[in-house]
Amino acid sequence: MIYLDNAATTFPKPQNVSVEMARCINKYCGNPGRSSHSLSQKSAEKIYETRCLLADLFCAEAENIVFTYNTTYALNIAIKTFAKDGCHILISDIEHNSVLRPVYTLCKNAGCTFNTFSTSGTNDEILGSIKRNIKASTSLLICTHISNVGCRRLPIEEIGKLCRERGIKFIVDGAQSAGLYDIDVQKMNIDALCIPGHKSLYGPQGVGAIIFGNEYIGKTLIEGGTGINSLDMEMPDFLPDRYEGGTLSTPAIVGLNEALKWLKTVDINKIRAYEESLYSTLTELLKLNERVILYEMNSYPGNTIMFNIDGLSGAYVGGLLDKRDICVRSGYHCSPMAHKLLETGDGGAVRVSFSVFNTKKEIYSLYEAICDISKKTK
Amino acid sequence: MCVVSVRSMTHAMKAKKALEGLDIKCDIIKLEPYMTKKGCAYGVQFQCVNLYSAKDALDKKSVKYSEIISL
Repeated sequence: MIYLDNAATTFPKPQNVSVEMARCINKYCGNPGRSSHSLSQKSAEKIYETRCLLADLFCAEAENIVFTYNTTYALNIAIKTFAKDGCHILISDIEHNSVLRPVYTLCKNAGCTFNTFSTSGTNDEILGSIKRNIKASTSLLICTHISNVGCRRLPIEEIGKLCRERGIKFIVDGAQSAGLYDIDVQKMNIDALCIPGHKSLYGPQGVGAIIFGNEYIGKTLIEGGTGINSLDMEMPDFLPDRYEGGTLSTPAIVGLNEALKWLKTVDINKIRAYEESLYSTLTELLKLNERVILYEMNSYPGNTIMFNIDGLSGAYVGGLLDKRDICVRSGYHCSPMAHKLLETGDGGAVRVSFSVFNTKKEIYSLYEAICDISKKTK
Repeated sequence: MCVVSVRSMTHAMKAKKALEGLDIKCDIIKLEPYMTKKGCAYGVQFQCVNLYSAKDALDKKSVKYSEIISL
């Protein structure tokens, strides 16, 4: 089997991830932060260690790391805690539904309004578009770091600087970049970085996080038990507990802990360069096939490739590749705005996305399969 | 014994790490009801002979705590 759907979730994971998760479930999975007995404390220690690993990676304070179930939960909490009723929100024109839908809901229910800025052109042109769209009431800017469709990369450091100058809160969707690019929430003036554990950080599904640049106490989305201040009707007014109601997923966090330790042993710049070399190889090959429509958003390489075969739907091509034991993802990838920009048309496109565990041989096999499909469906 | 009363388990872990960094032996404990105003809370217990170096370590590592209680 060839797995090339790593932008959805990386597979496989480093071996130590599942080994420690199983050890956790079998040996020490007490409820963290609920008791002072040994099993509870062992779980809590592992969770705190994971906070510290994330804090090191993203230059934050350990207590400002809030664990969630995935990036969507992280984005929802961050967006809804920062958004004031009636405020204006600025987002990019390539946002995933995990940003678009909560912002749309705020507009429907809380009197907010939103605009999109253009991500086309140079970094200066992107910043120009942001400046043109900022209003007096703009209090929040949310954008992806790297699009899951077409891998366009936004200049988040420059955007962060602009937001800080204008007093605008800045949320970054790091779903595709966490673990692939260096992100410093302090230096980049990021108020909240939302990340998944299960993509380029190589952890399991079921854990994501908000990396707050500073302690921020806003509205809560989830209220419930925290193991502390139990007589108080209000959620704690400090991080991380304010946003961590209910029991955390200890096995998933333990898995992420192991993945982060593994990631420290490899250079993420080397991982990125390797994935970009796979991208360049496949892009060059696909250009040789006349029936392949390649959707390129950028002049630089990334780790996702979008294509269609002329006359065939993405879903059909994805199904045929699956029959050849090749896993890719077809459709709109939950990013309708980016697909509109790419003009992929009805049915979206086929996405190929890489991880450090893919090989050049797999890329050649995929290309052979695509050529075979395009020949047999003429 | 002395107990530094902290906001939550996360902050208790941070305090413990700060104290252990100075080789101060300590344990995380659940605070007795008379020590808390709002219900369940945690503290980090250590020998009072280390009080001054413990305070110093907590401040240096920016550990947020409400008070240090002598038991």
